[in-house]
Amino acid sequence: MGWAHPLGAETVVIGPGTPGPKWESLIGALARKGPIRAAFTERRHFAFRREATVLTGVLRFSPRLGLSLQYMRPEESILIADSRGLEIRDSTGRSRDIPAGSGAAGVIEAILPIMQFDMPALYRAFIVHGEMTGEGWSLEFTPKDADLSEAFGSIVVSGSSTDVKRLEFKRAGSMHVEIDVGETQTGVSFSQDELKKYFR
Amino acid sequence: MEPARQKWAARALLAVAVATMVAWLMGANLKSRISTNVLDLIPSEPGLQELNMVRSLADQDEARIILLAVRAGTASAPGAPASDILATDLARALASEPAIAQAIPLADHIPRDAIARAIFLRRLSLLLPGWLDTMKRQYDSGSKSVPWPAWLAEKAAQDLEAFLAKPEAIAAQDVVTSDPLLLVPRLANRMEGISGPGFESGQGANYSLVWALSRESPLSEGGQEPVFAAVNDAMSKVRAIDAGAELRWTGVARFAAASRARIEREVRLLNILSLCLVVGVAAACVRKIHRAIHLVPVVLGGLLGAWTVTAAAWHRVHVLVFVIGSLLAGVAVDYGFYLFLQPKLRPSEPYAERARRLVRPLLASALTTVIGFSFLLWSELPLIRQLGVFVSAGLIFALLTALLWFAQIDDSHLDTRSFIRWRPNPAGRGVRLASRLALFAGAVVALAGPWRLHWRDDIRELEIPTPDITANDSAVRSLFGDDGAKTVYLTQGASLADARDNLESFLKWHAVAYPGSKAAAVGMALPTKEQWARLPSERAALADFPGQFRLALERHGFQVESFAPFFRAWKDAAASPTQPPYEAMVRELERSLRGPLSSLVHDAPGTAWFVTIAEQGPGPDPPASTNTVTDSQLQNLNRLFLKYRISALRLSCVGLAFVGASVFVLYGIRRGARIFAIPSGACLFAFGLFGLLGITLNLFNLLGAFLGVCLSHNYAIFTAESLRRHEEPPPSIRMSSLAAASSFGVLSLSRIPVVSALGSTVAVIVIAALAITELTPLASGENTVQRPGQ
Repeated sequence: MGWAHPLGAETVVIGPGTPGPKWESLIGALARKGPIRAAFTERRHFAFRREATVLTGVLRFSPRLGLSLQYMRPEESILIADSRGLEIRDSTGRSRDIPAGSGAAGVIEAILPIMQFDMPALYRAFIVHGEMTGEGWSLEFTPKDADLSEAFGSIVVSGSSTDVKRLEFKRAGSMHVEIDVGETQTGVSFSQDELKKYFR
Repeated sequence: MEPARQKWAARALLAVAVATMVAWLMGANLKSRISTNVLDLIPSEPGLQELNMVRSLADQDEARIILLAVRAGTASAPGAPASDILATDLARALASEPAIAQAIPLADHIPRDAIARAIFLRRLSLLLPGWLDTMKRQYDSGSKSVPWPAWLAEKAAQDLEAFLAKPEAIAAQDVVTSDPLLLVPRLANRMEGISGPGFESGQGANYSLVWALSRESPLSEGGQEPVFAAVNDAMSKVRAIDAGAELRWTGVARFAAASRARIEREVRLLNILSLCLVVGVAAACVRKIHRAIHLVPVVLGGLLGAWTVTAAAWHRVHVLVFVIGSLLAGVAVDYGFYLFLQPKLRPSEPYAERARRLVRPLLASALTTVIGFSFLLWSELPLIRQLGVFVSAGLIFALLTALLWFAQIDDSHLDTRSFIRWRPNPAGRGVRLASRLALFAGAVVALAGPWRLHWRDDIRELEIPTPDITANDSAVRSLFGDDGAKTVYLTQGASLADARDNLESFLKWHAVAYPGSKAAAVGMALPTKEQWARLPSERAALADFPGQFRLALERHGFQVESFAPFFRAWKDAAASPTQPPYEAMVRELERSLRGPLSSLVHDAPGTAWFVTIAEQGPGPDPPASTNTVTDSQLQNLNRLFLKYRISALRLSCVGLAFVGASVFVLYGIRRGARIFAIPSGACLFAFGLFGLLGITLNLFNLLGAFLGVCLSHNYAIFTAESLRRHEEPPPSIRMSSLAAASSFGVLSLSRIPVVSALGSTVAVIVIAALAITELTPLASGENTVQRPGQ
């Protein structure tokens, strides 16, 4: 069933068995992309600040090891989201673990199945809306759990063709985070050094 | 035949003494007076922070914690509740048990959220003073070109801007408008790692975790069986929902109960074995085996006297005193041997005459040993004082029993078998050479070995190791995320205010000693008393701060009006006419602490402490000035025991000096020196042997050495007495040393490491002393003894 999007594109609810061949083919291609490395720019919009806080760095994703965000500016840190939860490593090398399932892991933990495009898992936890215009597409994930939905809002992933271009975390009336994914290398194989430094 | 009057008088005295002691013991409710609490082995001295902490830890929350992990059965029916629901049910069932004070499923965030809320609401009381202190130090170390309120406002706005780029900013966005000084996020950052991941998520492997607190100390009986029953009852209720549900749990109560049961078994076994071996040695060496039964009353009399005097002298006596006391069987029997086996000068020699001949060496050996052991009464350790009295009283009662028992039987002499009297001919060249070689080898060991000795004490060696319970404990703790890689510190003070001041000193030391290693403590959520006292004047000096801070926020791109909640809270706090006393503020925070965090702070009249958990593994211990110790220091108390070891060594040396002096007074310098050389040489040999074997010794080896020297100098005295009379040394010396070696050999089999240490030390010294006694005349080729047929 579809509804009219303000921009004119048709937004559809995507669920088990309902995506249709175009979405199935896109989601299948996204899920098969394998490891990627990409530059990113993150803009954090806080309700109490006039301008966004801008962070830049390198995003690494491995379907097996999870997602790693290497922040380089304004401060160095590494954020790893994997099946064990979250790990934050600061510039001094100190790390902090946030176990999977704990409240503090929050929205970042939710990115992992989204980046894996593990749709069966996503259908269980989220209501998924999709929108496609030519090469462009976007998927909006809204937590089914009302508390989570209130706490974290929704996550929007958008892209062009089989490339993810932007991740957005939208929470009504407050923070809004956009991660623009820049030049992306797909099918990369991470060096031992990279694996050690950016994953666990 | 002995005179009837003598016999009846002896019987009457014995009967009255035994009846009196038995009646007293029966009325003394011994069970309640015998302790298995390891803390009863160590003293309560006001100045010893380690001990006071161990005591308060044992009695307070820390020891009463019970960790439980439950998971749904693998064969559970479809639709059976998940582990987290079972954990909630288990916690609810436990909380309804009278033996359990608290039970919380760790997945339940309500207690943690309540604490966070309590701290957040009081942030301008709890956290602001410490933050102002830190900021002021930074300001004072700079140029001070800008007034303090303006500098502080600019710094706070800069820090807030920088914070927004940190990963944790997203989670903290909701509190920032109320807390732009970042007091709570900073505390949260410092407190990271205070509990393992299991404590945060409530999950470990496939288990859901429950934290509980028993109502009574696990070292008391009320904290053991009732707790086990409560856990069983609660788990039965869970299994009614999911029959296959599995539970793993741990707590100090499990260790304490297992230790108590094992020690009780050990007491029974060691005492029976020791008595059997002593009687066995006697039976093997005498001609009429059945008459060896006359030695049993001597041993029983000694033990009865020792139990009575020790129980009368102390309200609480540790069971270890009775375990080690079983050695009395091997010592007390000596007087029976000496009296019973002493050959008569003529067939008609009456008992009284024979006893009079022996009274000098008997009194010399008994009294010197008693004098020596009496010095242990000056020890700081209750265990050593109790042992000193137990052994001294036991020896006196054994001697009295022996004198009275043999006075009331018709035939008070027993012949020994020939093998126990056999001696090689000292004139034989091979015998002399072999004896000299053996003595030379012993001397080498005695002189070279002691330099290789290592000493270490560990309070845990006072108990029987329980590897299965220890393994279970580690497994359950790992489910809670405790991998043992962190270091736990305890900072003490006479009050929480004192402890907080000490915590500040400790944290400063830690930052220097372990740069980069984070340390977390509940105490960080409190200001020091001094910071709290300064707060009103600090606030007054910052009257311009709100205005300056508005301007700074504006400069750094913030929507100033969003921060209205903060400015309102600041104004309210500044307008408050009076500040509550420090103690009231602390108590208010304490009231909000529930669950695991409540065990990280302790506040009782006269003693308070904070637990700090640091990221790094073992390393240098904090200096005494910080009033802080690590949990490993508390677990083994080695540093403390070093003090007791030195004290015991000093007392042993004084005791030995008196033993030696008594011998010199009684036997003169030359003979006294020969007598004293035997136990001293045997003691050096034992330490040399342990040194060469690489055995690490403890306080109980030292005590064993003292006991061994006292025992073995008896053999030297009796040998010297025989030589003085040109008689062959009586067989009782060999039997006595064999009995002592057997009874102490049994102790060396004990699973309590310190008991084993004591037993093996005495056994080696006794055997070595006997060997020296036997070999010296053979090596010198002296034939001063009138041998039969010569």
